[in-house]
Amino acid sequence: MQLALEVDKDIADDIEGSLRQAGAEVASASKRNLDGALETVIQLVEIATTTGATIVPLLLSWITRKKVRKIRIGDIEIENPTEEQVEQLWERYLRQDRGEP
Amino acid sequence: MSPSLSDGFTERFISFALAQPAKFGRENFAGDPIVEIFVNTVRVSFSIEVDVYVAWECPPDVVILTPPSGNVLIRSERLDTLLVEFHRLREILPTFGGELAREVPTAQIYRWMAEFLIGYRNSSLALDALELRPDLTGLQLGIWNPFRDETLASIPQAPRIALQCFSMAHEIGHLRYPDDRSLDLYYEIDGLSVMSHLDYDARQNPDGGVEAIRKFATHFIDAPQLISEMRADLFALECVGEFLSETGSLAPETAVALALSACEALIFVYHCKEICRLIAQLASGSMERVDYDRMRLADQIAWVGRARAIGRRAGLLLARLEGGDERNFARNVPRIDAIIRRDETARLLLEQAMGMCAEALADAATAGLRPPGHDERLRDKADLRLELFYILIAFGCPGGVDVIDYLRNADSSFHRLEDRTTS
Repeated sequence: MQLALEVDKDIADDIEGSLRQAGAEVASASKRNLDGALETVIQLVEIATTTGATIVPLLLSWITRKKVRKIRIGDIEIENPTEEQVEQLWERYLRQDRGEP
Repeated sequence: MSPSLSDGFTERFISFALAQPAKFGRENFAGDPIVEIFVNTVRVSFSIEVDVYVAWECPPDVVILTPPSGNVLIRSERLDTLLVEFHRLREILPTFGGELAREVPTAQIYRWMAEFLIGYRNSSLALDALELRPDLTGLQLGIWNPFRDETLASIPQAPRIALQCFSMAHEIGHLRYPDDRSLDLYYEIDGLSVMSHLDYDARQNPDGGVEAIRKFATHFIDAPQLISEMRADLFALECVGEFLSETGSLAPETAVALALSACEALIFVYHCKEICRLIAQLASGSMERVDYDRMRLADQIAWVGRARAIGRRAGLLLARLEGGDERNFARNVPRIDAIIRRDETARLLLEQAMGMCAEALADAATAGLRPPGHDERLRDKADLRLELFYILIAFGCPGGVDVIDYLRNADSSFHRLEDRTTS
């Protein structure tokens, strides 16, 4: 499965390291806009669905710390996601992956 | 890296980097070969690998990405026309007196703020901005035109090219000079510290206040970010000045004047966007009014500092373009001052209008009782819907765009992805 994250720059390396340790492939790009907002990092992540269960708790911990600006799982994208939203999104993804409605 | 992760790599980064519901494709420089030649010249001269993309159906913005596949610069279609509008406004402002001298820039700045606030997912405040605009119905200013080609054609070729090229070069400058978090305000540019640009006015003031400005700047200005902006400005000034003088065969003084004028447009527009970012934070409750006021002041000081740094470099550039010795640039100081003074009236009116708009919108953002959502506010206001419709057309939305749907989608932080394939 593929997911995408936009995270604060100060924690981007830690997040990438944790994702790799959990078996994910990660490609990163720094992102800056024309306003005074701080630079962020975009991470495209490729993981086996079976590894997802390991990744989700990590994701939730970063979300609790308000380090994730945006997340995309499947065809859904959420800015400033909450833990509940990501849990629901993950469940939805698993149902789709199993071919359930 | 697995084939699936690297497939359509750049496009996947762009697709995720842009705020929904923007669309994107390769930049065609609005069909202008000169701007394309400029970008290619800068790329080759400085060995900077960068792919330029254009985004549409979105508010004015620029995004720089640095994925492993190569640097990517994404500019929204609306940015160029907004810069042209600033140029037109600055030109015609000195012709107005009395109330109009205040109302004309105020009306235009509120419109830009409305656009930026849509980008910050706060269309309620965008509506506030549009409703706060002075009513100038009947005044045919010819500044605002929702159609890109007509807007670009509304000013002569040389200033238009200067605006487009400066904007491109400024962003490419950020790739050449990435943020260096170790720098502070005592970093020197052209022999002067950044701080000396920031405290200049206080040093000229007999009442002093130099220490207070220095203390404030040290605490509240993000030095690495300001220095990065300054270096990008100076890089763009050099690139555009040289290009217009050498490739465009313009007199060096004309080339430098056009580059300076383009720089002012860019700094003003970015300053306006930054204010809107702060106002959106204020409205969301994530920033207190006292912090907002402080950040506004810091931004204002930084803005003046950037202008001073670029004025100094302009003198050096002019000396070089005229084949002289850069060490004798002092003789160019009155010439650069004269170029800058040409737009003094307009500059003053624009600054006053910006301050007033920022204050009024910040008040609206912190008012205890917020007006209802945009659906309800727009239902009975055909004029406002039409105004917004033309704003969305200027964003590059199709003629069939539904204003209320667009704003609902733009305000949402939850999106089901549309097909945003490149063209």
